[in-house]
Amino acid sequence: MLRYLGRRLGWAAILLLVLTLVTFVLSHVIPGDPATFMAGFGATKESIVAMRTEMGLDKPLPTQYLLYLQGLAHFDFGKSVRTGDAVSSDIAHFLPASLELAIISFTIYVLLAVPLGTLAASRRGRRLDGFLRTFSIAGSGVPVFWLAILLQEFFFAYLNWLPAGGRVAITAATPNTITGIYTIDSILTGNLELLGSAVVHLILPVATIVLAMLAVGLRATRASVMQELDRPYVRTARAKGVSEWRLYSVHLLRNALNPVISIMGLQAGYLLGWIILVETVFGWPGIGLYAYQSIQHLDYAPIMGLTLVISSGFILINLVTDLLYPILDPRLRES
Amino acid sequence: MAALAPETAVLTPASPGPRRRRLFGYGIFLPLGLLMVIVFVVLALAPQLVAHFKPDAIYVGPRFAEPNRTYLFGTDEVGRDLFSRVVYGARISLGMSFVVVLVGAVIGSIVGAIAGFVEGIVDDILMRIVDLFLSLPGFILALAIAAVLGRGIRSVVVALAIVWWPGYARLVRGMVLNVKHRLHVEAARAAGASSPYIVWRHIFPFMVTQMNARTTQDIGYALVNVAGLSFLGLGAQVPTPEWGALLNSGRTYVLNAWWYAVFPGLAITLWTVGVSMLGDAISEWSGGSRVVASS
Repeated sequence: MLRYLGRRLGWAAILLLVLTLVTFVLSHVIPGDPATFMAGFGATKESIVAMRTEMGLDKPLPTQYLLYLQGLAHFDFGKSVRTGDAVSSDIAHFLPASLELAIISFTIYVLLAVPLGTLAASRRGRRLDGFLRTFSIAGSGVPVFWLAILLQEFFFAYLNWLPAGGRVAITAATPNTITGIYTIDSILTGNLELLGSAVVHLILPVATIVLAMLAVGLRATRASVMQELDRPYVRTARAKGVSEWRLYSVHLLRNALNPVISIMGLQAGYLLGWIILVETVFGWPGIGLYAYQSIQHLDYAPIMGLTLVISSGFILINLVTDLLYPILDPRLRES
Repeated sequence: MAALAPETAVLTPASPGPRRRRLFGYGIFLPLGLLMVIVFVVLALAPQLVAHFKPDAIYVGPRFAEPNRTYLFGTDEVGRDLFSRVVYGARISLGMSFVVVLVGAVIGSIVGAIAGFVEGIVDDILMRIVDLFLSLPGFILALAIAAVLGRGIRSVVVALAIVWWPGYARLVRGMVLNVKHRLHVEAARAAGASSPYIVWRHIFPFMVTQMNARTTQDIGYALVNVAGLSFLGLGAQVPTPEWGALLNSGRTYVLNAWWYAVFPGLAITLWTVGVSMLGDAISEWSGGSRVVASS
């Protein structure tokens, strides 16, 4: 068990290192020369040379890489040309909004996919099962950014039930920032009006992400539960007179969940990419929108900083998934 | 598969990408998928068959005309015919995703074949590199690479191909390992055939069906990625009628022109569903797998 843990942690560390190498190389092959780029338009030769020295670009590459790593250790991702701020403070500013969106979406997704998938498996071949299967086929081909636009067109432009985007109504007072997650902050400060506004603004982006992921999660849960249903222990449990509820919640799901978790872990990883697209459509002021705006200006420091942060999140999710297996399945702790 | 030891089943993370669907069997999937794919490919090759306007010709109609009999998908902010744009866009979107998968599959197959055939330290090194790639988020990496290469169709295709090959390397390596100790391969080697010849002539034919299924489905996923990057402003640039780029222009007009963003997205969806059904049918039709590839 400890060896397993050590190997997973070691692998994650190697991945992080490789990741920094990738962004380091990419930052060095940006069109033109980073110093010219940072010095801005119409910079004199002297100021470019000064910028080169300032950025350490006159040093040998390995030294530059070490300096780069040293900077990263202090969360120094460079400066955004567009906002004029340090990328790290920009990211710190935009990250809570994305975390709020991602965590709420993923939680709702899991809470829907597992019970519905189990339900579909227990009603194999009946109408509900057929409906859920049709839904999951149709859902698997819809690109998430199109789904976002469709929901926006229908619920905002056509029905006018929900706002087009943003985090809270423009008229709402900006909350006192405690966590930066508006739903939590508004509850902490007892600001119900703000809470309402925040929730209303969350509905469409969250619905987009949940719907986009649901098909895969449903199918995975259904397949895994169905496979378990054929196992002898299910028959034994039923023969013993175990109630269906207990059979599913105690006996079956623990066995069925591991493959589901590995797929959901993968999806949590995809979510990090999708969130850029969804935030762009809904003008959700998180790191995804920040990424989109940085791309529009080909502002490289934020793009690389975000690549690092998002990929680290991806690595972390994979690590957590790997560690979840032995926790949920005692049989894996032995090996 | 029930006999599979749970430990190995669980500790091998499922590979990202297509899961097998056998919902209606290939009975409906094959003809329907095939039909959709053929229609799209014909449109991509010969858009002038159905599109009566030049995709970039402005003011062939009024601005923001609703879909009607002349302008099937309506018109955009400068009176271009959206139907023509979507149809001509097929060539760009399909072409880009085709190249991504082709390049990815070729590079990946070569790497995978070398790893599986040579084994030993070469295999170890190549597969660790593949693992590294597969453990990082492909879309984000492609985004960063494309941004560095500059906007444009070519940089998106290159960036996606760079993150696309490792999946194939793993698949092909597994298949090569599976076949390489069979008798006919040993016989060919004893007869003095060279390694590349053996791979090409005696091992590759075993993989064709699986590769077909995988590449077919991948073309759908590649298109979604291509469109996603173009949507973010990295790939095809205005006024190129690439579907992702069209969606990005269209989303600004959700209030006054619902059709603008609806049809390009519908095209993406239909294409993805079509190739996914076809890919399913192919793998189902081949009896699942002639060579079971284990990663």
